[in-house]
Amino acid sequence: MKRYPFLRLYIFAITILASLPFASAQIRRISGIISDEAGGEALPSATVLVVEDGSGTTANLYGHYQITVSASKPVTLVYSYVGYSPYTLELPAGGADTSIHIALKSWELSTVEVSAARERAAIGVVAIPVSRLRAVPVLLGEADLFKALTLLPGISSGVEGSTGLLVRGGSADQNLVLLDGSVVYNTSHLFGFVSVFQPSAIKDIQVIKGGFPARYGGRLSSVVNVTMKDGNTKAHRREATLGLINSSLTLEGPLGKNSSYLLAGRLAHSALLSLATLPAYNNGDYLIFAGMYDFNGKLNFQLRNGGKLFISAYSGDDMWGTKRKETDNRGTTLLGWGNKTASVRYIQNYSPALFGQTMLNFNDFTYWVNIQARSNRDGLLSMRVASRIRELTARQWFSWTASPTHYLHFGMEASTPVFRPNATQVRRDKILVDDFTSPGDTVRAFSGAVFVEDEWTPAANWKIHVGLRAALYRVAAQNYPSLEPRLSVEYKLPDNQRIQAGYSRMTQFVHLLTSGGAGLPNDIWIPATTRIPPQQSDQIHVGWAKDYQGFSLTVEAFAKQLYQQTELTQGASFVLNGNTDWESLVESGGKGRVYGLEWLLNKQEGRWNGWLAYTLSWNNRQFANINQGKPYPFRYDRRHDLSLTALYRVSSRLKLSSNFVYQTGHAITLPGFVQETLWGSFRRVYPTKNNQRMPAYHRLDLSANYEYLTRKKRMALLTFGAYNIYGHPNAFFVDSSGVPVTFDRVTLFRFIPSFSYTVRW
Amino acid sequence: MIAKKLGVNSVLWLVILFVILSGCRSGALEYDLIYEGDRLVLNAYVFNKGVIARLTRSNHPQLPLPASFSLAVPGRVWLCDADGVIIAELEDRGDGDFELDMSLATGTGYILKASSDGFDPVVSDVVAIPEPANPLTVNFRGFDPNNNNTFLVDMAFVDIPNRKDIYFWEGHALKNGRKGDFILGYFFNEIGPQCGFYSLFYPDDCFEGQPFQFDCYIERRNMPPNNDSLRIEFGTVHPDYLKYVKSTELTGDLEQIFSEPRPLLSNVNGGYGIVLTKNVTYYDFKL
Repeated sequence: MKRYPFLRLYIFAITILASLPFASAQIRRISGIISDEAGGEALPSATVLVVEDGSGTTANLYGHYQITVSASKPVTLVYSYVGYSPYTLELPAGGADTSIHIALKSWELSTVEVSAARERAAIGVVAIPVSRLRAVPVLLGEADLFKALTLLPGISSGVEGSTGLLVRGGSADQNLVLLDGSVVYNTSHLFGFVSVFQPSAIKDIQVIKGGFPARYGGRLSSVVNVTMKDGNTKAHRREATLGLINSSLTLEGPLGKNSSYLLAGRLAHSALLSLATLPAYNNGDYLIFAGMYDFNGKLNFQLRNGGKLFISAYSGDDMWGTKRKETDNRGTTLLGWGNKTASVRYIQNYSPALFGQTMLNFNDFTYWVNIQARSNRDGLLSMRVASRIRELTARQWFSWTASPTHYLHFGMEASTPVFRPNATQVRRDKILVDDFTSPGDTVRAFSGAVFVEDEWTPAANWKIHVGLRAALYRVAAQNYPSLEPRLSVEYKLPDNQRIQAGYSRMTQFVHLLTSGGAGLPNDIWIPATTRIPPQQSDQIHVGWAKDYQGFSLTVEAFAKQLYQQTELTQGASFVLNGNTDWESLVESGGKGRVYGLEWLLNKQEGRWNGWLAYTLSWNNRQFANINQGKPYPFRYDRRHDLSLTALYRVSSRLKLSSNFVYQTGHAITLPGFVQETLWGSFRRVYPTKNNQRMPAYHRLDLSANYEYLTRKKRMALLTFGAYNIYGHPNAFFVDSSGVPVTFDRVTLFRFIPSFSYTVRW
Repeated sequence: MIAKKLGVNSVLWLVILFVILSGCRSGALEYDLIYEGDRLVLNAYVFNKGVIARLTRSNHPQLPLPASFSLAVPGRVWLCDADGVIIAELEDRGDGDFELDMSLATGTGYILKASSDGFDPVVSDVVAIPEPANPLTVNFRGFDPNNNNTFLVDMAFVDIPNRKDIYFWEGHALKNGRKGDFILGYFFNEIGPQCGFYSLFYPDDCFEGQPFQFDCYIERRNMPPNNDSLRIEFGTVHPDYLKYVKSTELTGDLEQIFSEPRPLLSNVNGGYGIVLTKNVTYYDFKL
């Protein structure tokens, strides 16, 4: 131990914090885990309410809660979670600090129909539970949690085929997507139609859009916290789904006492996509083919010292491409991308006042493009461009109930990302003729951060969340320190109303470059370097929320200023430039300005339920060397974004759901005039960037779920879905060609029927 | 009653909606593009042997080109010094073409001005002719023993050290003293992989200060009696030349997928176009 003074200090600090008494002996501290009675799964974001004074707390991602109550008189605690029957616990006066674990019973499993816990309108946070998100219309026969998130205000996706979430005008890279604490760089499969998160393996998903806690950093626009299921600790369970495009199998069960495992795999049957485009291919058009798989695995161990150890891993890859044949030429373009993550997490309730979590996370993201052209004259010419990120992150976080009014979170983290943004090789007849990759293309960096935040309750109606994050990013002997203050103030009004205002400064040490021509998922992640500084943002938001008889209404206004934004140099492409100096292709130092209003009307109860979400926003960017230095609309500047999601329970077996989406078309660059070139040919000229709009995007999806018991008494679920039921030809990209120029709308998919069969046993 | 339970009304409503909205299917899109009006387009080379310029106008991107497929406009073009003082007026050769035969100095700043009735006048940025290249050695090797349809021609020169150069070459048939078709082909393997993906322009990055050789060929059908002479134009170009070449690209299928449209490089104020410089030497050979 003498050799590890830091470790000694760490243990000493934990001991002190865990044993610190409150100044008042009239207070007792209660902590514990809130879990599902049937499967033993912890319930993140479950709430605990003290009936006597209306105070309360929310469980963390591990279902762990800490609360202080009066020790001098009896108190009543109500534990609740959406979809579960609330549990009421009466504590007599007196008693010391203690741990109380609560198991809630699922509402659907209750023998008596009681009122289930309701969602509370949230400001700055999307907290619709997974069970509800899974019920929205399915795509390709399988529910998709990320797609469902885009139906909420302030969150949208790019074009069909682009990847990731766009939160409050941010770009897809500006979301900190964490899967069990590991960063997931690319969240989409199959043209962006399916997210990488298998619904059957996911327990909880939480999106923070504003008022960011100081524990999170490294991205500008949102934190998307995805938690995998721990696995059933009571019984072995299996779930198999056979869909038109994907099939999946999930296995979970106990591993000894209170420990469990989860294994989930999913595979696409891509041949159908190819078959659908085969007639077009035979007529000289593109043949499209695609494939993907996912694998999730998790082990959850309850240790003898009361701690818990979670080991989880994810692996998923995509490959899609197009093929075209002409008289003398054949061309093939293949794109592939994949994530691999692994995490080891240890949580320990050191005392009723102190909770700690230690995390070690690894992630590996690869993206590649392979272009082949074969002609009778030149033979086979191929180019492969690859981009890769690997990152190891260690975190230590604590949550400490310092006093009845102060709940502190503090911790530190360190990360060692390694980037190789652009490795290009050219081959002729499979023989390497050029390798544009040099050792200098690999960028090794370090980022570290410490944070402290205080959930302060100065009075019954006030909640102030104040925090500070100090981060340091080091690359090639260049240090980028950043100090990020965070503040969120909430005030409870009468009649279940609340108002909240917040400010967040965020810093991001990676950038994503997207070629804007079509929006294919050919995104290149690049690190901040000595020539490309980290991104930063300042966001303020003000919100009002009201809960009323099963309805909740939330209205939020936000404004966000973005600094040090990057873009590909206008017209540049990582794919075809053959340039080893990738930093020269990047325009940095850009500014962004986003502001808007969000409305969410949410009906949570009854046979009919669902939500109506609307976002009105403006989103601009400005770079010195793009668009003559003038501001221009961000590619995904959408003035209006409306979605209506309706769920209808026909009977206990049959449920119908639908959603309608309408979005203003995003910005595109179209020609401004035609002129002769120096060689005498005619050329379309694009004088301003993002000067036009794609056609408005809209579609209606429907789905029906029918549940029944099989002869073997297994629960079966039949799902029929229809994506874009009226077949609107939403533009994937606009193909402008010829002089005079004509415009063609290229549509990926119109009407997609789907069917899936799920059986659980 | 059963129909109500099953929600038939809703289904019917959806069918009607489907029928109405499926009429939206269409591949073509209508855009009303913002057009700033016709402007002068001045494209020109300023080089050591004079000036070649072409004066045209821009066209609305959605309007057809004239039946003649020419956007040429009548007008006048002047060569000026860096201060804008006129040195000479270019000779109007008709159909928008202008020429000036005059020895011009390397390293000196020049400006081109042009005007045409009904248009705002245009003025180029100051441009300068680059330093010349070392002499080119041309070796006629005869017909390829493996392919008697190609006549092999090797070209070689030595790069000038400590100077950033971009070279260009062209090989044309010469008929009655006038430049004819482009007849000198090249082997991609000999040029492309060494110096990027350019066939007729290549920077000295990969052979700085070194000798450089590339192999070309003439197809048999371009040999006598169809042609009697070959003119090889070889020299250096200003770096803007390469930028302009790049900016004219991005029209292929792959580029449409992977890149945003690239703006066309222009150094002409008041209108559009480009004035580029080069330093060229002619090498004439009897075939």
